[in-house]
Amino acid sequence: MNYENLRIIVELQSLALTAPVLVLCAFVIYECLHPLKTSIKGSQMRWILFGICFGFAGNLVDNLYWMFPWTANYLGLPATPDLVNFGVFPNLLFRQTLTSVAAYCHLRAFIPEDNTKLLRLLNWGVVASIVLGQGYILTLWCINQGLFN
Amino acid sequence: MVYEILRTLTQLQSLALTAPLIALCVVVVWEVLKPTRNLVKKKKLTVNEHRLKWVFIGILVGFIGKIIESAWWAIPWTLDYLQIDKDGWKKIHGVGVFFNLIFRQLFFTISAYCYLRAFIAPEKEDSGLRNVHWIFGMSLILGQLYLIALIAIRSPLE
Repeated sequence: MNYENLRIIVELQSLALTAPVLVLCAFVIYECLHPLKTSIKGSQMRWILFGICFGFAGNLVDNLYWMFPWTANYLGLPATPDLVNFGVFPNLLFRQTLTSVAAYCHLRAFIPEDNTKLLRLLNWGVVASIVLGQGYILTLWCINQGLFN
Repeated sequence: MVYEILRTLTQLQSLALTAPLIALCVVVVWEVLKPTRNLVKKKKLTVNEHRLKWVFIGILVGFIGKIIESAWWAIPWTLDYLQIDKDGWKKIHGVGVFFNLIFRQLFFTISAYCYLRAFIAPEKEDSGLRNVHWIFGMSLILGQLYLIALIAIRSPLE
């Protein structure tokens, strides 16, 4: 079996695994809703449940979207490049942003309500990493424009 | 033209968001590691402790997958933006399916299974465990059926 055949099999299994991912995501969100409604405001469990909901909602939509370009790619449909190119939008919103929000909620779950110092550290950490990310793309833009030549 | 600019900006912001995403995920994994280890090692657990154990394992698996997957995709996205070595980029992008399958799909599926165990059947003896396995099994079969349908559709097209 050569690399290309293996790649196609893996690509197909990725498509096949989309169904269980979508079904399981939907079930997890469904199971989370009731405990979320009845949970105490500001409690650890509430933050974890928010994190789970955001994370799984993002993954549900993201996986649902990518099913289309991957399917189109396998079938060799002409719409494939357009669908793949459009994918940056659901990537940013549902994969990156909602996962980051989910991670933030999970971290809030581990910080006691009265520990403002730790909370401030977390928030500053988030801001610093956002600034780092913006710095990274600024560097890439400068490289692309040939400013470092 | 406007769409292209918006797409490039979005692609860049996607790259920019990789840093905070990975940073947050790493801290989550670090925070969850010790409580997970303690719960897994503990001999007798209450029902709530079982639930929490499954939740923490789900968090660990899900976020580890996210870290590796996000770190990987930053590479081809960066190369794509910089337009470095088009052929090399295609090869690297092609390897992405392996990362997708293992760290995005598989890890996430395991993570979702752990959460369902936490909510429906935290203990082995729970009656809901069969339901969890049914949901899991049926959705895997659904996925394979979708695959067979695609292969069947593609064959006449070729």
